[in-house]
Amino acid sequence: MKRFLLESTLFSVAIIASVYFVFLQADGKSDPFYSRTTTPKQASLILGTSKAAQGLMPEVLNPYLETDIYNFSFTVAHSPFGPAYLSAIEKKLKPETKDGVFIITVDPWSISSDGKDPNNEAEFGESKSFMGIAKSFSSKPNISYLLNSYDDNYIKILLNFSLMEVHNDGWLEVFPPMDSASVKNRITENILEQKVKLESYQFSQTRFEYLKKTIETLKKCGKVYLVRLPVYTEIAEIEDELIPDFNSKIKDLANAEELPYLNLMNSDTKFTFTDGIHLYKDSAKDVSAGVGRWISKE
Amino acid sequence: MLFNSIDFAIFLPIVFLLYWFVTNKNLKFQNFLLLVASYVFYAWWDWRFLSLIVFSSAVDYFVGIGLSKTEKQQKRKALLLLSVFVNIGFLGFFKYFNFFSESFAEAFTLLGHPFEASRLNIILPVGISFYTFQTMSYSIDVYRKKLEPTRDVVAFFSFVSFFPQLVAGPIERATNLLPQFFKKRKFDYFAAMDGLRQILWGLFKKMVIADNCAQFVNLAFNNPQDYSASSLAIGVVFFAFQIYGDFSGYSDIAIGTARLFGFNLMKNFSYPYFSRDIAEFWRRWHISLSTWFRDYVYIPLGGSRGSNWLKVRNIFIIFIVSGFWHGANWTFIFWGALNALYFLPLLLLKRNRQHIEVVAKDRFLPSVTDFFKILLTFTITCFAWIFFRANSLSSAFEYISLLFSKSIFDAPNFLALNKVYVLIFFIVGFLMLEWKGRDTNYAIENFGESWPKPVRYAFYYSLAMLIFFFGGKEQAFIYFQF
Repeated sequence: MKRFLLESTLFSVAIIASVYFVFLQADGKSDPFYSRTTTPKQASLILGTSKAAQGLMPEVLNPYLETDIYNFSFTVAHSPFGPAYLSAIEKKLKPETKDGVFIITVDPWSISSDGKDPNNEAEFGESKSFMGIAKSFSSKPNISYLLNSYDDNYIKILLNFSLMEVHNDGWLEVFPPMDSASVKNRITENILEQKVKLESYQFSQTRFEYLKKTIETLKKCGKVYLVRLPVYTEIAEIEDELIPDFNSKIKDLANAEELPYLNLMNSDTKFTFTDGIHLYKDSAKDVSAGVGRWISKE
Repeated sequence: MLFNSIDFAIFLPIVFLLYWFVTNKNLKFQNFLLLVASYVFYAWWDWRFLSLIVFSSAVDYFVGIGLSKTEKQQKRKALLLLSVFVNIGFLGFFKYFNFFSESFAEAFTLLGHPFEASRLNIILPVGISFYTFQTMSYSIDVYRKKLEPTRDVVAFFSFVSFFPQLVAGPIERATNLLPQFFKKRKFDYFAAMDGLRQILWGLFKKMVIADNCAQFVNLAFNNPQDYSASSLAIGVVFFAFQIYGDFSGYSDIAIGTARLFGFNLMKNFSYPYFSRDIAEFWRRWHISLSTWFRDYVYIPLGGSRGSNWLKVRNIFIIFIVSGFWHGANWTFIFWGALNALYFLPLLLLKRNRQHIEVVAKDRFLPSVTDFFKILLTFTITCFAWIFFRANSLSSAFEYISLLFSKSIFDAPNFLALNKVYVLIFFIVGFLMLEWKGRDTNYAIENFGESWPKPVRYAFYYSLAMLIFFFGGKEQAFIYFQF
């Protein structure tokens, strides 16, 4: 028995040590979310879905804000407004923060839901993802994330090949082919996909309430700004179809909460998109600078 | 609790240490620990259905005692029927109620008397098809006086719920497993190491082969119209390896785990894809179920004795029942019937037992004839798998019609084609190891036995790291749903 225990323990230790070593190598190229769950707690955050993850660059914003802001946006599947995202934000927030800056990006998808009852929290899909189950958003390596939520084969952690990279400030940079044919294909695909989604999604009052709760939580920690990022015209039309009175809803909310609101829709002709939804990096830089200037004037 | 989960990786060493260090002085304590561990293992999935296992165990325990007390044939028959009624009743209700209800409704509608089928929201308890057959085999063997009934309630309940094979087999015979609960178990280093090796191999089959194949199989079978025929062909072949890796991998982990506790479970797979005809395939695939049906259904029906008509009838019954055991869907029945059709010519020409020995025994490669026989058997098996995997008969026929089209000569159009090539590389490597170990209990049982220990350990380490690096997304075992 001694021999068995010794050999099996040594073998297990060798495996566990190797696994731990590999986990230590995981970084912003391993997947689009992991590194945001490993950076330290933050005092200023950019919040929202993938539009914000790719479209707002902390590096550009920081000089205007005179602070270091962190991009803590994910995707519409993981970070629509709801209990899971609010809890994740609270975990990521540095305790005792009083003078933070919070840019909350809003769009109709982030306050909508699919399923039979869009107001039923139990049906919110993100609660079952890492957003709902992660115990920490600031531990490195984040073993719980890697074991439970990492979606790819672990070999990818060691292969330094990826079509995206999450930078240290949380900004997600993507490297898609940007020739006009590829971009057009992606836009067409997204329009089709969003039209299909439109059939099952509807406005969720519960999510809207969580947007309010998120704002109220963050107001205690600093200044909050609401921003709607631009999208391609046909994508915008689909969003309008999803929640026709979205802008008035957000304006009313901004007034009630006494927050500044910047709506960048209808300015899509100035910008380049990778797929009609997400700003390409040059345009992300311009938009980030614009948002920075607006905040510094407010 | 899944074998390929962190929960099980923690659970197993705890039970192992308690078993050999705390309860090792007393056999009854050891059996009691196994019973508690088995119930915890099952309750991890859904504790409510534990009551079914307990009830099924209690019925067969008392049926066994009842059978020992009477010699009256009528009473003995009644007791046996009670066991069969309860076990088949559970299975029928939980697994087949909705199927029968809907099928009757459809049949009446076709006959011009439409009515609404009543459908119940029934959850299928994991492993019910396995443990009901296992516990029923006890009552049948006691009835046939092949086995002395036991009065040791803990040992019997442990036998029914023994966690390594509780939810997906091998379906153990009481005559093999139950007596092992009465024998003092002594720790054996070589058996335990062998157990760990078999667990490692089972995890490789499940996580590297089956789970990676699953991604492409799901794509091909969920939207066949989006893929070229060549991709659909890859989808079918990958399904053949998915189901084999998944189920035989589970069996390897189960057998290996049991060995850690001093138990020997029966072999469930014996390199079925190296079979030279379909009869050999069925002697090598899910052996515990095939032999269960052979002993408790086929032989009582007359087996291969009697007229040709009786032989044909018995073969169809056995294959269709076997198909239906897998699930309440016409696809499984069709799959069973198709295999009966494959099998029938061999039986009628009395050629069903021409390949008993392992293929190419004592040779490195098969003969050209054997190679083509293996290829043909694999091809017709894959064709039958289409019905097994499809969600409905119409989906299966749609898949087949798309498969036999001109685009079979086009390049596969899966998006992640590089992953397909990596997977093919793994499958080839896997087949080479299986071929090398084809006359052993599992492929790597004796692999590298002449190597120095550090080299052998380096091989096991590499296998473990391959599982870690290339393990597909955790998927439940396919046979849990049966």
